[in-house]
Amino acid sequence: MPLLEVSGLRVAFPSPTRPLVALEGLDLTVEAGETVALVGESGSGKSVASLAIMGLLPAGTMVTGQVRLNGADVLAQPARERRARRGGGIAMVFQEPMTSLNPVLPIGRQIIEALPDDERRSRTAASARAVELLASVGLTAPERRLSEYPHQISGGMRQRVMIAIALASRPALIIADEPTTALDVTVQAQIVALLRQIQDESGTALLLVSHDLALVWQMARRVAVMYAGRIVEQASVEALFARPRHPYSAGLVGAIPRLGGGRAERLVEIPGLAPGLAERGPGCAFAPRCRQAAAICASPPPAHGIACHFAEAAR
Amino acid sequence: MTALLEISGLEKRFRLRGGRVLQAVAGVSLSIAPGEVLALVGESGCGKSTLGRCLLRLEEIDGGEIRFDGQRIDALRATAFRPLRQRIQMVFQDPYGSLDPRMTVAEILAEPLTSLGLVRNRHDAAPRVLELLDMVRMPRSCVAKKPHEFSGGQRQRIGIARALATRPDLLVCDEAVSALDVSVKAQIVNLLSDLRAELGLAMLFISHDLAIVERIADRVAVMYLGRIVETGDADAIFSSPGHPYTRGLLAAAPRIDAPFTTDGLLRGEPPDPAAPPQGCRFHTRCPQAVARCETDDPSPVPLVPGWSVACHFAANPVPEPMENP
Repeated sequence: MPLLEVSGLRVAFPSPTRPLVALEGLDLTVEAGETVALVGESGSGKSVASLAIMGLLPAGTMVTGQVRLNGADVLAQPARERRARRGGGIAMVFQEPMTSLNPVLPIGRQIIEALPDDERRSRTAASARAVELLASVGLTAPERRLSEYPHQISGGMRQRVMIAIALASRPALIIADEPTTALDVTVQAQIVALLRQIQDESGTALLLVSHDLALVWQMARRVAVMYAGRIVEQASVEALFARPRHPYSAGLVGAIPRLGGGRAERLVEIPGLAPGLAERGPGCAFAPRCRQAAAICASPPPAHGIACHFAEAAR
Repeated sequence: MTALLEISGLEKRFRLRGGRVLQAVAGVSLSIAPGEVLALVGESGCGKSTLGRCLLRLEEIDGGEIRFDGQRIDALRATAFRPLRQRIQMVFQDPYGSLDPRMTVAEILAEPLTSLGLVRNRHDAAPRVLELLDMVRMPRSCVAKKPHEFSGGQRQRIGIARALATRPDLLVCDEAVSALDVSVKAQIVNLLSDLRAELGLAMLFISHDLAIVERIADRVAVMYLGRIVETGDADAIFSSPGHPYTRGLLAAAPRIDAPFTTDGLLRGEPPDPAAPPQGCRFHTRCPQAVARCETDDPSPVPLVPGWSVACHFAANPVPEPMENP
């Protein structure tokens, strides 16, 4: 049984005319200890997917399908129970630590609040655990940090604190949504190293949500490429970079500037733009930008495997 | 060849609350030849954007000189600067924030021409507006639309068209592609390369993204806490970086052709620019710092003409295994 099993996850937002479908039947699994990346550009639905899995979408959002964690249906649970009270749940790390940390609470308290219930009973034991967590994410002088506030520390340290809070609940899965995007290059690399180290040591599974294929390459073994609310291709990271099979994945892989590529090499462009939520029809959403597009692309692409009418032919 | 832009000893300070002073640009000297692309790279807070803003007189400088086409422009009065203003234009990171949401594309593109008195009125600007849209590969039919009707990439094309309106010789691009999605970023980088070739534009390309910089720059200047720590040919700097900070930046740049390694990663984060370390400003993060680095501030040492490194070890580099050269 996979640790996380998402099947047929569909998310639609109400609008005056018709519901706007942000996510169209997402199927995804994450095994225990595995790192899977959900990669896509803005508007692809990757963040909506992570929020839906966490149960963090606003009330009124239409969410259907199944999210199972260790076999238990997470979407059916009331939101309060979903919080990882006993460990083994899902924790989240967001892009912007400054907006997801509480600015008026000391760092120590924010970590302690995330501890499982049985680790919070003794105040001294809880503080000791918070210090241990801060040390484990590489903060110097962790005892002193307990009483500091988020604005007193640097951006990189705030992201380390966010990771400590995520780890506090002893999760089986961490969802990290653009965990390095807001950071400087040298600090990004430090956070990547930290996340990899945590996985090696604790065996926590990671669902990495990002637009950054280079980050995906550094972190993940498997990757799901999203476009306009659908997963268009799932593959091992090596296979995706070596032989992308969906035309969008191929464009995305070609568009990444590679260090060492020199000046002569021209970046591969994907012409045009991704369609907005209201502009999506039943056919392949990538067709207007696709060099291979033909009449058949007006009909829905295959729901399983590579979401392209030509994927089999191209093999 | 005479430089198109020559900056020497440039200083810019900001007064902070509590009487502290932030020296954003601390004695920077740089030059850009006509048609040359110089990339200015560094992390947030290093002063690279402030330096760009100084060139357009969006900030008044506190010391040093800026010469454009041989003429000193930092001390010019606003009226005397105006004719030069059309020759230096800027492309901003956030095209949405920098385009007036109430104006149509035609108005946005005509504005620099009318405000600098290059055309009498918007009507006279119309042919140039269409030409500009062609240059940035936007359909002519979009002239009546407003910024909110476009995607981020399209808005950045309009931002570039506006910057090109006055036929500048120098374009200052401040993180011009940083906010864009991967597929669109490639479109804009290719567009800037094309325009540069077609128009012979010189650029100051301010960016933290080394993979993009390698794609577009002739020369690179690396900035750290208000100082240029290394400057030279892009090829040389990417293949054999001379300053330990440049090496750290390159080691940290994400790569998709090699396994992730922690080798060569810098420790810590850039210090508070309002309280830079004594001696070499980089010594607190430098893997090879010695006692001397804590007290002596290194001056730039020319390695070969056009390539200089501000490091005590620059002339006699400490041999180091190079990761990911």
